Amino acid sequence: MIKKKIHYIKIALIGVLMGITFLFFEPFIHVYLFKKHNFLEELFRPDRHEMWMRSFVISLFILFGFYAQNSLNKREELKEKFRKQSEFLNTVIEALSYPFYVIDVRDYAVKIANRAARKGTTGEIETCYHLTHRSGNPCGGEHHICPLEEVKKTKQPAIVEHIHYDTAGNAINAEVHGYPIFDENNNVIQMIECVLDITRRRQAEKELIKTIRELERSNTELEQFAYVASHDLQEPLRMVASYVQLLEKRYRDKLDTQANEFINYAVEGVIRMQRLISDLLTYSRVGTRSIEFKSVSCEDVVKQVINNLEEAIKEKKGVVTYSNLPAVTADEVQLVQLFQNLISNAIKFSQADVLPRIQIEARRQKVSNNSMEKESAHGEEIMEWVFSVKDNGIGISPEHFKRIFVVFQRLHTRSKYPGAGMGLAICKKIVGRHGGQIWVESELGKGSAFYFTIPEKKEG
Amino acid sequence: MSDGVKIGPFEVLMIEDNPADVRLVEEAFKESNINNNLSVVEDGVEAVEFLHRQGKYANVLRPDLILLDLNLPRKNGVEVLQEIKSESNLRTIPVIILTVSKAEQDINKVYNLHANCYIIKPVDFHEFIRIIKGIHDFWFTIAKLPRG
Repeated sequence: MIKKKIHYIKIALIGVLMGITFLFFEPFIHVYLFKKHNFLEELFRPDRHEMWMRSFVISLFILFGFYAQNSLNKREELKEKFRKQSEFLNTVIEALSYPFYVIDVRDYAVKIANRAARKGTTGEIETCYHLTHRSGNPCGGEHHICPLEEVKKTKQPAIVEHIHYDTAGNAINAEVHGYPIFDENNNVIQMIECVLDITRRRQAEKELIKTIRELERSNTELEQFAYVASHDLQEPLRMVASYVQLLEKRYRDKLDTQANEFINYAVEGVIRMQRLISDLLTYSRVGTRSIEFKSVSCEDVVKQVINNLEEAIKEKKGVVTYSNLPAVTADEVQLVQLFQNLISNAIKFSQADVLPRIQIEARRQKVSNNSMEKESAHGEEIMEWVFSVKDNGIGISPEHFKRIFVVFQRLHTRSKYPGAGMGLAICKKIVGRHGGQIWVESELGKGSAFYFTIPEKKEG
Repeated sequence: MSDGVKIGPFEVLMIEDNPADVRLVEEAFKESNINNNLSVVEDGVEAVEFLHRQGKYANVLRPDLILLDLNLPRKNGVEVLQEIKSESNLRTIPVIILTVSKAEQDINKVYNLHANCYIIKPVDFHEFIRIIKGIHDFWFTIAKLPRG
């Protein structure tokens, strides 16, 4: 405002100046052109007021001229600015790699369509439905919601999914974004429409789902197979074992010690096989249980395990201690299995002349580098519990640290330490199913410490 | 005599299709010096006929105990169990499920249908003898059976 005022004051001052100039100009002309003698006499002649009037009017005209010129200039400037801005916006719109439209919501007429939108069309572009759907009618119905109708109704931006067709007639999965443009009465008069091609995304999604289904199916089949195989294998085993034992019992007097030895080996073999199959069954069942994680108290679990292993613990005069064990979101039955395998191992692999002492502890930490996810979907840090089962047993040599977690891998002869070699493999599978990691630290002759992590999860 | 309780020898009906398993039970009884009368039928349909004393089973004695396997041809063990436990004159006979399956859902199902107990056949024969003797001791000397 002040700028304008100063502007006009400036023009007024110039005008006045010009007026005064012309006031002196006329007598000047009179003196030089018309050879009158006295400048001052001319300046202050009696009919001077006419001259003053004339000067005044002329200066007014000149003033007006300046003003008009100024206005014209300003208009030109604005026009230029406007043109530049328009050009800029146009460039931006044309540069967009996805189709961009401005559509009149009343008659579906396309007001603006950028290059990407016009691609492949010939001639005039009329309505939006003609352009994108090659259709004679506006989109409608549940599966093809018209974005204009949505935006008109809700006065908010809307996103709908349509099928568009490209020049070759191929169908494209299109995500249509509509944005309203309002008039003074807050009615929607136009809509800005951007179309994103999400065909590849939808395709990828479909393939992903297909793959998942396939994997699920395959998994189920495998697990069923493992279950059935193990189950059916037990039957003939039982026959062999039972009858060989019956033979031994019934014909004990008629058989020599060698025969008895043979029978013992046979029976032993069968019992071992049976245990193996039983372990295999357990291993295969780790995955088949439906994922029902609930909050489980680890203290209760460990108490239960100590109870289960009471006999073995008492036999070796072992002591199992635990402290500050948390509650975690887990599958309770499998957690029992996990702790039981680890603790029973600790008891089993104790040193001959040392009473087994087993300590179970837990501490909370940020998810470490070993684990896969470090942040939840919301970018929060995921915390995990690191459990440790430490013993003072025979220990493990470092070269075996990875092997022991593999199915059927054993480090000792069967006569020294019985077992099928599945306990730790089962532990690893259970820990893996809970999203954690398991590893061991150990020194031969001193003892071992088994660590595993269970990430903190929200229930459900 | 007058308190209505039966004393041996007891009638045991075994419903089992594997003759090897039947033989094992017989031998187990023998090893434990148990003198029971063991009748055997091979499938569920025969079992029902036996219990109803139909056809060739017209003159059989009512069993005091039933050993039932779950994997049977024609009519499976669960169906037989249901039938026995649904008839008023048969359901007082204790039914012992003697089978191979360890599956929790099998165990639960069977107890839900009022089986008297569920026993898993062991691999070890000595263990098996112990179980058979245990069954005999429990059901025939500790527990009291109703008169049929």
